[in-house]
Amino acid sequence: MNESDIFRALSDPTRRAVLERLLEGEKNATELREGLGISQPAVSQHVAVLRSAGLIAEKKSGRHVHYSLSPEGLAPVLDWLARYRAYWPSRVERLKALLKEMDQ
Amino acid sequence: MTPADEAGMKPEEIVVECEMAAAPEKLWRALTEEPFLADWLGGEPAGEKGEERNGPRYQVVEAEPYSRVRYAWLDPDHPDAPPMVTVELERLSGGRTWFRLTHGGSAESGLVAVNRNSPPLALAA
Repeated sequence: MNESDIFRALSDPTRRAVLERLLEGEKNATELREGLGISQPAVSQHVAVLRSAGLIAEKKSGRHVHYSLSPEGLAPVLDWLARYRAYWPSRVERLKALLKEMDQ
Repeated sequence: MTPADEAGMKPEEIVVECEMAAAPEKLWRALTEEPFLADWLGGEPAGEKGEERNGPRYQVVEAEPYSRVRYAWLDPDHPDAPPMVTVELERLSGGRTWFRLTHGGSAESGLVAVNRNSPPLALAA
């Protein structure tokens, strides 16, 4: 798992929807599929990508597999978001100041 | 001015937008001319001396005068993070401009890809 896999995993809207569903709590494959409007094999494929990116964990109990969010998997993304959510507003403030200086 | 509302926002995209008290023509200079650009953008132009530096590097990859400029962006601390920074300008009345900056894009579209297509640009990864 690396940061590139994580960003790639998050770039797909269906995979983001899967993660959003898991925010509500642990789900099995059938529950996960509900409302997504895609086939079970397609769900499995997206789940595999999310698992290999370390974003979700699976747990087997009897015949069922339960999926849950793996919050630490999101850490690199949250780290990047935190940095640039602070970075760009401060750079835009600098741009405003620069525009004023350009007049002088 | 705050990062865009998070509802419905892609997790891998950051948007900052605001009104600027300058016409698009003047903003354009700040967005494309050195040293204005390096000053506010806060990175180093890619491919220049100082490859060993640690800070973010950028390169102008697309420039549509007075309306849109795109920078490939590479932060060595986050080499796989979204690599494109796009600034869009919209002319407002009274010599003002609506400014929108978006940091996002897939790994395939950034400086690494630019490098692949144009060997002369050497970028320390």
